[in-house]
Amino acid sequence: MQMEGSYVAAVVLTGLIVVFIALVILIAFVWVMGKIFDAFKGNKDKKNDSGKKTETVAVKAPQTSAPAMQIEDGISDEIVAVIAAAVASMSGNFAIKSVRKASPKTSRRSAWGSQGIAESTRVF
Amino acid sequence: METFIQSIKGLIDTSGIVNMTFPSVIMILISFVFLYLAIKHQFEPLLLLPIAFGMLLTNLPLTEMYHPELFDISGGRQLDFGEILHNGGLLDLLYLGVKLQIYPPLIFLGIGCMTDFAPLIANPKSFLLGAAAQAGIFLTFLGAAWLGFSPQEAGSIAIIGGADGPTAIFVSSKLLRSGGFDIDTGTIALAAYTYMALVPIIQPPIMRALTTKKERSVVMTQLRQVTKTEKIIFPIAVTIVIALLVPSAAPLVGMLMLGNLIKESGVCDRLCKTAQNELMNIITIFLGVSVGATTTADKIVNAKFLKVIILGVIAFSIGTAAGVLFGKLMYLFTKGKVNPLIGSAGVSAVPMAARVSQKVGQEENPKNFLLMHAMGPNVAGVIGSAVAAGVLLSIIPY
Repeated sequence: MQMEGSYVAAVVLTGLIVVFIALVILIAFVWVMGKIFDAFKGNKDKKNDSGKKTETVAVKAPQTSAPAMQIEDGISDEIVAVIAAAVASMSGNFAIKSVRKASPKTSRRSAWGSQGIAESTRVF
Repeated sequence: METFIQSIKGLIDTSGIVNMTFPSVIMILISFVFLYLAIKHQFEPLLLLPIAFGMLLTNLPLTEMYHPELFDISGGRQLDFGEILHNGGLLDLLYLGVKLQIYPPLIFLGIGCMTDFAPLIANPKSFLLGAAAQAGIFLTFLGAAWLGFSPQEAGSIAIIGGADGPTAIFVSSKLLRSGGFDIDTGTIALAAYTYMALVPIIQPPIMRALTTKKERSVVMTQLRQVTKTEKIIFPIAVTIVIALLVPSAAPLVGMLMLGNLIKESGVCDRLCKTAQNELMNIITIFLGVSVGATTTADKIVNAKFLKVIILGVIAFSIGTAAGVLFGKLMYLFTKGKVNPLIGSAGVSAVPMAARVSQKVGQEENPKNFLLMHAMGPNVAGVIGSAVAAGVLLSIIPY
């Protein structure tokens, strides 16, 4: 059975329009849902931040009173020596004020992390 | 002695060797090609291997495993389940799951259990790319109509562009249910799975041709974290929206989302494991071998099959091109924040198409990781092709 041009055009246009409408409705829904959840998350973060501020002040206070190098527990003298040597090798007048481990939450993806992702996605 | 000779003669007369026809020999050779592709080159082996073996079984004469005449309901005849149960072979009984559209939605249940919609929820704009890539389906319908196919055949061929095997089987088994067509569900499934396996070969040249080096090098910003509550609400909302808008897409989308809800709820681990492993594997075997059985010589060794193969690759290519072009549009509107390469993943073929986006992106910038960004349009494509399937089933009479 040969199809008429108008029928074919109707199928093509209806199909494309309905698919787009359906997915645009879903975009709108997911977008609104995301905004609502972000707003909730924002409120929670604000509450947590006000609690954290007092902590940071308390931590910073001894730093100003004691100008000596602050070294976090668990970092060996050898590591401090290596860091000091690296800093000393740089041209310019640098001094180490403190040595502490970077929080994984605030740090960017490390070189090793990037290498790990590259390894596991290379097969693709 | 005469009795002995008679019995040997009778045995020879009823053997497959004497009853072998030329088209059957060709079909058996074709099944060898597909078996080779599945085993040696791992072309979608989980489905292509059972399909190819089903093709082999059905074309060996006198095996009595599959009887297409039992499913022929042309001329207003009704499907006689009693006759199928009494006189049907093993593959006739397994084929009931295809004929009654049971297997594809169950496969979607398993896919739902394995799919993470987080990249799509984090970046809902990906839905647009999933929709754009469905242009392949509808523009191929145009081509099939022009080549003289009937609406049912054209719809079945067009859905190959959705790059989704279960969807293609679901649509074609419904549209071609009355029988009497030159093509069958097996033809469509064979073309669909072959092209899905060829996604890494078909897509990259189109992606490179339609994008500039600068566009391919775009590094996209990290996606936001999606909460568990959002992941739980998503499948419920999608089911409601799609089922209300296109009810005929509900069996596919509904099962896909049920599987996803089982996974995301975190309280049905046992069901999730069964749906994505044992159940899905069992259905895959049944679906593959019974769909393969429908590829009888009269459906494959004809000029229309060649047209289906050509239209199938056109459908895939248009889908890819439409996705990439829409990606370019988004690149312009977002002032270079979207890498157009993720658009090609909108054709579904999960996760192969997303991997292709990742690979082509890394050719320009080895430090660029597009995989998660491409998974958004990729899973949107699954929803999009299910909606397109629903639209075809709503518009085309069958």
